[in-house]
Amino acid sequence: MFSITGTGWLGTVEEVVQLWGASRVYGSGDQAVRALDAVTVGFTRGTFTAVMGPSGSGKSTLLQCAAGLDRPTEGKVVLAGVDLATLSEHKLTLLRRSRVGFVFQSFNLMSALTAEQNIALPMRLARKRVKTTDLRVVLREVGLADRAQHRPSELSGGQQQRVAIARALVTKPDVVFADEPTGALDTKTSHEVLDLLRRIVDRHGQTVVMVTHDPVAGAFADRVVFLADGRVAGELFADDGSGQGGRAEAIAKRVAHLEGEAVK
Amino acid sequence: MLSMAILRNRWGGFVGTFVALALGVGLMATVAQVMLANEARTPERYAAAPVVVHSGGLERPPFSRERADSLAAGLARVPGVSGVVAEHAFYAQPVGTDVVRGRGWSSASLAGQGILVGAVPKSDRQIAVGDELGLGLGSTVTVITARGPSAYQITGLTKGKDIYFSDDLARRSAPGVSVIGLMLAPGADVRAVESAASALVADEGSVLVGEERAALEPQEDANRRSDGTTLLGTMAAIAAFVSIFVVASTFALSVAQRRRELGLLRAVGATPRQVRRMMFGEALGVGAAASSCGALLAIPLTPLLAAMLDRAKLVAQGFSPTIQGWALLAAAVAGLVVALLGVWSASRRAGRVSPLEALREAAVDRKPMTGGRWVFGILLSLLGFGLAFGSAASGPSAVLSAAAFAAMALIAGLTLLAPVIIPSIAHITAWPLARMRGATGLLVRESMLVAVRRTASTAAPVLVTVGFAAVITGVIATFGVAVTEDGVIDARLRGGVVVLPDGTPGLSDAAVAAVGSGEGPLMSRIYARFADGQVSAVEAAGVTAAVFPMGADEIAIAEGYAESLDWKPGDTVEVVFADGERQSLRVKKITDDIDDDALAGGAVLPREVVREHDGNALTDAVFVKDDSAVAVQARVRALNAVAADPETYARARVAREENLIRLVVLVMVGLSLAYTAIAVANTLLMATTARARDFAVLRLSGATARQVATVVAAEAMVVTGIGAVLGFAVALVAVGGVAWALTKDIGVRIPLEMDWPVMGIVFGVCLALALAASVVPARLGMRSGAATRVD
Repeated sequence: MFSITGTGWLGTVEEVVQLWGASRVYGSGDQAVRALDAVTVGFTRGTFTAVMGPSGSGKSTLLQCAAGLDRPTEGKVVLAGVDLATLSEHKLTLLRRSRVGFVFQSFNLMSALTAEQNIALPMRLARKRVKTTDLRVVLREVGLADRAQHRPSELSGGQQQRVAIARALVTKPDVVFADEPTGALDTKTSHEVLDLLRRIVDRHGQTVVMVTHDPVAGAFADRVVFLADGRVAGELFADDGSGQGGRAEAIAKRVAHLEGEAVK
Repeated sequence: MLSMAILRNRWGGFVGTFVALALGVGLMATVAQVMLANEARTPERYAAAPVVVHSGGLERPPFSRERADSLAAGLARVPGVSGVVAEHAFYAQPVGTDVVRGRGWSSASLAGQGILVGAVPKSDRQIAVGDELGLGLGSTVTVITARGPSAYQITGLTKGKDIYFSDDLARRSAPGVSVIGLMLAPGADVRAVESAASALVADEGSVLVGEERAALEPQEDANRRSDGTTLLGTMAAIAAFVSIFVVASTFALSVAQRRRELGLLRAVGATPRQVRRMMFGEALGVGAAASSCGALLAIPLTPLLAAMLDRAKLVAQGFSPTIQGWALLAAAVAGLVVALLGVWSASRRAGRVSPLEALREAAVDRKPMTGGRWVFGILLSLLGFGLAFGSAASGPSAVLSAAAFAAMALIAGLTLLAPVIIPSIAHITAWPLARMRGATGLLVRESMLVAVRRTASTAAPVLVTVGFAAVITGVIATFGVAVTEDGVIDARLRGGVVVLPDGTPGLSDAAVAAVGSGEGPLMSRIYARFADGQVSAVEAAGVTAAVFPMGADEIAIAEGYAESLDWKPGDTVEVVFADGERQSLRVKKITDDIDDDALAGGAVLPREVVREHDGNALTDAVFVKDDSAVAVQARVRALNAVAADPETYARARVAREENLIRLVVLVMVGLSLAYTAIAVANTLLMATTARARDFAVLRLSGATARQVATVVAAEAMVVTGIGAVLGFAVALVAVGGVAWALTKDIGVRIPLEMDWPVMGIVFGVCLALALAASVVPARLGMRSGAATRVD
């Protein structure tokens, strides 16, 4: 598959998600808003990518189009080798169900179901049999083995996010999309969640694409893609040189720079 | 799994649907059982006659006495027949009872009755009476017949409520024979007797066996039953309609409120079809629970409804409903169907929820109108208009049903068009609100306009309640005015005093004679062959020469009938009288409705001719000029008659019919009120608890708890007002249509009448409910402190 990112520091790459000249326009006429403007970007398998930028830069829109939750007005999205434009709503749902996992900032779980039931939900919707042992494994992976029977109202914010990640993982997806997963959490809990995301990439070769505004969160990623005004405005790779703290600072500087440009 | 989990966890949100559906099913089951029991049944008095020859009621004339005799002789020779009785029945009413029919003693054997104590009546002055009448053996009783009151001696008692005279007297008094009963020997073949009898009778009548004998029930019973059935049917229809309504609006609101959750489901991988099926699952769950409870409700409700209908005289005598298991089951199934129908549209909308909804904060409704809603909304509204204006003035129960269905169609149509209508109305009502100082007006207005679905869901039940209450009471009131006007016109044209029967079905000859002067036609019927070949009955009025001079062989006929009979002045025509006698008459005149009220309606004959051929004929009323009511009253009081002025006469006509339905009407109004009370309360409760976050934001912006409560109350009042105005508009159309139809029918302008007191109460109740259901949860929510946490 032709790689957009070219040969980065990882060597030959395989890209799970590719956007080709994707644009997303809301509204029409002189009320039109270009949330995404001809964005071409790819996400490599087995990596942790952060998408960052000033507010209004289109990062959430980029995530939604890449994940198949929204359709771009122009351009195309290729996910796991499939051009999403060729799929009906029904087929798109089936693809999402088996190949994609999501974590939102909040409101991730069905309040009527227990943690275990929430995690099993995608499999049950796909009419696949769910082995309790598999569920337990995933729960242990996220460190919540003892909270299986609890409902979301009985879990803390961080625990809910971890259940959401567990659910995203249970179908063994090709890619996990996370939209500000630590946005509503305190520093300590944020770190736990980000550690978890890092772990699944390192240990299990999972692909994670995360939208965030927090430079510290961005520092956990292998690569940061910057957006400004709906366009790609640069990248930063995690060299093994600077530590996480140094990376966070570099990211913060870049974002501030982009924000300054936007004001001009 | 998902549906059950959600139901178990969120059962609070489904309580309203459950209660409404349970009540609806309970009512439908009750109505079903009552209707089943209200079917025509073979009258008890023919219990011992398995085969009956019937001349045919209104389609064929009765057998003349001679013809009945020869038929009876022929039937007696049929193998298997052990006895033949030609029934001679005539008007006979013991004073103070409501028995109106007397028979010859031989008819008693058709019922399998015999003398319990005493002897069989043999002479003209002897009578045997049923023991339930409370009359003593050997005593004298006054019995009123068409001629007048006479005294009879009770020689024997039988079981039940019938009265029997000597066969000789009955034969002379009865105008004709319409029923000949056959008693069979033990082991006789009913089918063989039936075919032999049919061969003998040919097309002069029909031979009835088994349940076919239900056709023999008296006309009064048949009319009562039919009125009752119509009203019961309408009640069931209203129950079903309102149930679907409540279920549909509850689920619609539920979908709107759960869009984030539904969006999440879609994001996690539920296809639109799976989401739809989940909603159906919820509906089935609630539906099954509600239907079973509702069906059980019918068990105590059935006797209650039966008693009510019996008192309103809308069911046949001897009516006793039983609990029919399968009727309950059918109603429960109907309840499930209602639940599924109610959720259908909401489920489709749920399936269309995009996964992105999980991320969205504000509840802004986009494109609530679909093509389907436009089409059906307009179609139904037009249907409602049509029904309202097309309702002919054909008896109060039929008009009521037409008005109720018109109201239902209009309400459904308006509800579908609500997303278009309500914002427009809201804008109009909101214009002054936006100009008010302070935030209340602004908040109420914006909130109403943005959450169109919520506004429509809250206004709709109020629309239904006010609409139904206004239509039903308005139709009754308008109809009452119309009948009064009709009666008053009628009477004023004819005289200053009206003499009416008091406790009897009509005035006897003696009573008419006691009045002294004035005119009153003798009412009977004749049978003639119409142009289409069918023989049918025509109402015949017997009048004196002072009203319209005619020879004994002449007849006059009303314009309307003349056409379908194809009679022209000067024609010689053949008619059969009420006693079965055939005669040729010459048509003297075609009468015009406007010409002379006294002759309007049907055929006109000389009074003596009518009396000669119908010993049973009675006079409906006598109209007297140039005399005072008091004087006339003094003369007629002893003869079961009462004298009144025309207004009282007209009002008496209205009162009789009105009382018959008032009870059931109140039930209907009370019913729809109860239902929509549930719907209003339910919708507002759900809506208000979901707006907790909005209230929190308001509080954080600086509003006191009281100000928030005021905003909530103001919005509730405005929305209730909108619903009431729309409901009133529906009623105006429906009742207006009825008034228009009546005006055309009677020829006098009938004004549109509304029952303002009842409507005031209904509106007041809706308002109180709306306020309670919105302010109380809002206040409770704020008190718990949840209101200041924005998350």
